[in-house]
Amino acid sequence: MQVTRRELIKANAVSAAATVIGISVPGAQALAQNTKDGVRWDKGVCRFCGTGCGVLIGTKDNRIVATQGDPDAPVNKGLNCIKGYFLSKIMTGKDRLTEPLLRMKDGKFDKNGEFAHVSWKQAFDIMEEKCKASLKANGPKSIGMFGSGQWTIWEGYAAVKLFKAGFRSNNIDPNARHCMASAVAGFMRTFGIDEPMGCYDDAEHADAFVLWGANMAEMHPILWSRITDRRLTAKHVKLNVLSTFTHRSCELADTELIFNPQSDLAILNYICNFIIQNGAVNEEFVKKNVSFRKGVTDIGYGLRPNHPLEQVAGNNGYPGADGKPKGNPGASAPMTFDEFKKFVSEYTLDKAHEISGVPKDKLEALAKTYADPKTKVVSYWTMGFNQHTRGTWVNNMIYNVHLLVGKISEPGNGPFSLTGQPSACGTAREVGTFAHRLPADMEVTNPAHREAAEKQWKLPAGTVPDWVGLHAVAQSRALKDGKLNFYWTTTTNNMQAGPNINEEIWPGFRNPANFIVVSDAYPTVSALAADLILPCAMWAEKEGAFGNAERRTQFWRQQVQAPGKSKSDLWQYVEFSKRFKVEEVWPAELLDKAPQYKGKTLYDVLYANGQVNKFPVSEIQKGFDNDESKDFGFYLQKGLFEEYAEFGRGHAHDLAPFETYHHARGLRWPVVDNKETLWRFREGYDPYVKKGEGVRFYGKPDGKAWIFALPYQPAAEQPDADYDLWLCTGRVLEHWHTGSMTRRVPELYRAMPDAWLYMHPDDAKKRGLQRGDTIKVATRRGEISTKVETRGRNKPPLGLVFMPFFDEHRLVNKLTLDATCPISKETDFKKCACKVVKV
Amino acid sequence: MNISSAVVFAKPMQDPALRALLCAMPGVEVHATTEDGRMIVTIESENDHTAIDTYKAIEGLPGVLSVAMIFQQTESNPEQELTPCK
Repeated sequence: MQVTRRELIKANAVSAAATVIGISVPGAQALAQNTKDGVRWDKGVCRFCGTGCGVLIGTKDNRIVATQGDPDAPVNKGLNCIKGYFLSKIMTGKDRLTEPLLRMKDGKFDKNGEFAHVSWKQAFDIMEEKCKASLKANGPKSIGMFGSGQWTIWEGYAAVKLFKAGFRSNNIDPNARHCMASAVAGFMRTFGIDEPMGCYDDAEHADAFVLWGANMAEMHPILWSRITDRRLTAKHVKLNVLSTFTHRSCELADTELIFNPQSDLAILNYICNFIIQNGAVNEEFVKKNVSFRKGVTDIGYGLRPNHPLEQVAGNNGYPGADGKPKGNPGASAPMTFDEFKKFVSEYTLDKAHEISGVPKDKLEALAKTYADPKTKVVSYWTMGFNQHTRGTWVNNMIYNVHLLVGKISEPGNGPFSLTGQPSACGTAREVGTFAHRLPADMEVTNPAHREAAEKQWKLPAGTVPDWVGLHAVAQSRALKDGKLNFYWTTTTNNMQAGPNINEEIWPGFRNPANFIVVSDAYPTVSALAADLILPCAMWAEKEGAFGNAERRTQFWRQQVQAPGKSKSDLWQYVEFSKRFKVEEVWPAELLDKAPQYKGKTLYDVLYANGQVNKFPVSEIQKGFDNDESKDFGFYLQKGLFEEYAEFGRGHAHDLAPFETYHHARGLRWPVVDNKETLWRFREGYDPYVKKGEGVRFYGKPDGKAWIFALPYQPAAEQPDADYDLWLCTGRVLEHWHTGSMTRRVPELYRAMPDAWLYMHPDDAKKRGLQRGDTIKVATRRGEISTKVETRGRNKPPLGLVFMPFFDEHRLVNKLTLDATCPISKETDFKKCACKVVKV
Repeated sequence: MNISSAVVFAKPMQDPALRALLCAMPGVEVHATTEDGRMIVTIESENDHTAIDTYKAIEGLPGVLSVAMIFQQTESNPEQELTPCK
């Protein structure tokens, strides 16, 4: 019997759906099983958010023609969200970059020239010239890289090596600084080790969920479907959503708590106070596992040092009049439980209500949920907590709540920090791509950590610099000030995603003292503001690895070849390293300690070092391409991964052998004896907790987590007579971050073409506005025009407006303030003051 | 053309009425239903735009709780004949 392609594809589609819901559709399944249409299926990982859904990728004639949710993936069990569903189309946008582009005039580079096609050789020639000129004139502090939580694990690792060991510059930071640096700082401060103790399985065990400023229905739809399932199938389960405006996640909520911006700090202290006043402290747990600390408070807002708010701050760590740092924003001192009790006692129900605006009965019910020893609670958060001028504090403070009642590190009980990017955890955090970090949670300021890295990298002592490099916002400021002169941004789009574009990002990109390189697959606004654009291979055009929010490391193989002359970011870093002789970048006294490296290139020293080039190309799975390995002559990804994995093995960050991940649907670290870890810090689940210890927070030397006494403090900028509204920015379901990929998928573009400003109908009326009117949104930093939406999916309260940042035609980040958490250096994109007028 | 599948989660009692509404939509076929209100549908569309419009329309039908997307494939030669293996 003959069948058409159409019939077969339909049978495949039905069969996939039948597998997901566990039913049988015999006709379709038999046809799907017995007919071949030349499509090769292989496992992959979604390119978008931090959930880390498994996808099956269907390839034919060097094109990805089909995708489906991977039914064997524990994360998503066969489901897709709308972005994941159209994943195969992100690579085929009409404006895909396929050749390097350089600003030229009269046949040579000119900062004010027009973009023209050049060869890779020409591109690397000018990069080499500009990088060497900066190094020579102003040293390693004058060069820098801005990377990504979308880097594959080996891309981030290769970049860190190139900068921190090769160029000896710690000026490398990921865009993850904008999305979860506060979560990192929170983990390190409270637990001494990064990343969540729990995992997604908590969703099937909890009795109550609390979302703190996270709109999971739109930003983490697949995890949301797991929560929805639990809420609808277990009748006793309750869902609490806290937010500064009503959104789609509120539709399923049993209790919706809309609070005034910044007042989460007061609510969290009130919950602690309630727990203590009502005798709900888990005394045995606290006595054994917790220490109490009082944090310094006068820490400023991460603004430029000449800002009035910084001049009065006594603990912002900036140089004072005497040139010495003014305190340390991260400092704290021991205190007793009774002192902590007294500290939070002022956060009464009345006070929390007054500051937050949330009805008292709702606040009390939320506090009871945490206090009730019989209710298992999971708290979720993302940007609402992290993008906060007190982001580190608020992360510390949610841990305070869970630690006081001992609801942590066990199925269904725990605080869970979500991530927004596919490898914010796997690359940005675990590889240590932050300006202050090294792999496996180590830091550049710790001599023992630098020594460990140098040893693992076979480099002489003193190679890795001891200074903390420039973080994201500091990089923008240094570019503007002409102190950072060679700048490579890669797998990211800071001209759209970074704060205060008009005053702090655009001037630095166009500063004549600087040379800006952007590596991307599409002409983003950052690329168009650069001097040189390098075309990138993306997603399944290269072999890759991501680490998701639940510590799950996942691999995929190269499925197709990249178009034109595009090359992976990994290839770009490794190839560029060949352009530098060690003598050109290291001082003579350092090189004297390792005379065997004399006359070698950075490529020889960093990548052809006997470790990274240890595995032959013959180990690559037959039938699959691996363009970089073919070029360099060894299995590059495997060598980088195995060298990197050694940092964590035996140090509570254990990763399995490379090949294991090509077979498994991901594994959650630490992976010891091939067994993943679902709940850390608890005996029976975590191999690092010994028999009889029960719970041990082993990130701290004494095994005790820290509860911090920290106050409510106001935001850096609040509405006033001139700018009378809170402006909150964020994302939407259809587009991922700056839309550089999802805006190329016609279905997704059409589903949400423009970013409108969401506003309360009465606020609109007061300004003479109707839905759909063109308006001007202005802050002290600039203005943009868009349309007003009063009936959309987001429903702000009076006094607050919300606008997404995906739309390259309306850059809302021209309006935002570059205030950061002074500890984590993460920008607060959720709070500044704006006004809205009719055009 | 684009062929895709989804699981529609509906209120159990809605089945016959909802099924009729779904079948009336261009390119939509219902392949299986379960007693607790889940249905497998496929959607055939000729261009990029209609698939997502159809999904949005399904989401908005009375009795639909949610729609989960499962599979999609783009095909340029849908009428080509294939022979199933024995």
